[in-house]
Amino acid sequence: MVALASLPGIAGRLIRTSVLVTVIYRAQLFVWLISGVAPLFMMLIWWELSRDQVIGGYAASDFVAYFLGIYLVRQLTAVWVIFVLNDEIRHGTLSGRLLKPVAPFWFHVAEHLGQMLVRAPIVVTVFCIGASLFDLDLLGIARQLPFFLVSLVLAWIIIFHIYYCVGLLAFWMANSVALDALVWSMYTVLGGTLIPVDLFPEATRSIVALLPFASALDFPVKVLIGKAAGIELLYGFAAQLFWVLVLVALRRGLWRQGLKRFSGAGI
Amino acid sequence: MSLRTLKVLLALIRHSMLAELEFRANAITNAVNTVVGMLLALYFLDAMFAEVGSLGGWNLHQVLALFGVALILEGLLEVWLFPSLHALSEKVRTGDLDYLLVRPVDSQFLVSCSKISLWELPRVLIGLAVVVYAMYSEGALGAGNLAAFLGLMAAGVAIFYSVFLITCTLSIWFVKIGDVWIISYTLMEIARFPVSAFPQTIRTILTFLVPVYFVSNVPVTGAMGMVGWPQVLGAILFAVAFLCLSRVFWLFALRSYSSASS
Repeated sequence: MVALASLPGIAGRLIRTSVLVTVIYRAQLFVWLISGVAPLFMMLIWWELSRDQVIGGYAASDFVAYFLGIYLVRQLTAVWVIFVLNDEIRHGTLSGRLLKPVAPFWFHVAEHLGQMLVRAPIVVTVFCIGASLFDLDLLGIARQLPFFLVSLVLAWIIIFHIYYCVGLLAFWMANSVALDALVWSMYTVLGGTLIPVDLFPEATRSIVALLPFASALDFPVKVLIGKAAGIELLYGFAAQLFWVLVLVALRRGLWRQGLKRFSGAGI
Repeated sequence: MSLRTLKVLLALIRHSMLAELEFRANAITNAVNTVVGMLLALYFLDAMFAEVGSLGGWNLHQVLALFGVALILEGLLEVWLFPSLHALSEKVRTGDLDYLLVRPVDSQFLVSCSKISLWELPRVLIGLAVVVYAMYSEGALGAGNLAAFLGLMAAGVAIFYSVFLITCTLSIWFVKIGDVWIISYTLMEIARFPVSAFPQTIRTILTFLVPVYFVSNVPVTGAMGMVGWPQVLGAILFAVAFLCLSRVFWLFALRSYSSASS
């Protein structure tokens, strides 16, 4: 175990390493920025559709705010840990990580946080430019920031853990990345990237809203644009907390069971 | 294509099949992923069309056919383009491209077909099934429309291939830009929607600059029997132009390729 006092130092160094790696591979950063624009195209489609009608309680400006928010949250909570884990488990390089005094989980967390530090300013700039182009009420959005930041952190924990758990399945199956497409399509459709969760048919809407995908994407966006208030805000946070607890427990269980099977092949 | 090129292609496919026998299980996973993805897409389309009457003048089944086309493109990407061309940046980095260049077969052909993973084929087939189902629901299923669809789809694939080759060729200059292909995925996400659903400026860009219109929209208008001669001519023109462009670009890139090996 590591002494508690040295933890901030270790965390700082791990995150700094990740920042440096990101800066070195800045061409990738550019590519990643372009690849995330799909929600902005959905925004244009819904904006065009809602020019002279309100659709399901969303006016044109609501759609713009919603999909700009989706872009922001999705880019800020981007997770690629499934590829890292799958590789480390299959190639046995996890053994090296296991020898270090900090649990591998925290390495992965630090790597993601470091990259986010570099990406966040760019993503936020794109959001602000978009918001001012479409004349959104930036002051109103700023007022939501305290609640939004809390929901964003919870959302990140949820989506990170979903991918982490799927990645850990590499202990049991040959290639857990094969499941990435499955998670991605559920996250995309049920998270609200194509259509706000509010617009799903009434019969199934409440179920979709309770799934972890909506908790990880749709809910923080609604908090940001002021579409979640009162009791809905409370329910949303409760759902987020619920999924955080469930997924953390699941991750720890999978990790413990998987490690028993791990033989460090390749080393 | 000469007979020898065809023989080389068959040999490449056989070789890739042998190399990938161990990944057979992936074929099933992929099929499941695709079916679930399609069901989710249906759920989304149902919700969308419950709120709006049409999407840029297209109805539910026509947009569904577009999703099918996008699935076919995605499948072709996984079967053919990605395994072959994604390896290019790695080959440039290690200098392995040299071994490819000295072979007595056209280098663009070898780079474009170096690996073909047939296990990913289910996605293409499911995409085709979705298009046929959409045609049937629209009462447009017939030999003429199917032929029009396949012909226009071929033109679309030619354009898509050219764009993909050009983005991957960039790795000859920027070795570290390994992930440029992601841009093609974004194009595919846009290709699932009718270009007419976008605001005017974007519509022009998606028709002429980044011809998503000819890649996915025109094949579907063919399938639904709504295609006109201007669209057919445009599709052929764009396909030929993009193929030529990618050829010229490839040859140009090779000239500035300095081998990394000794």
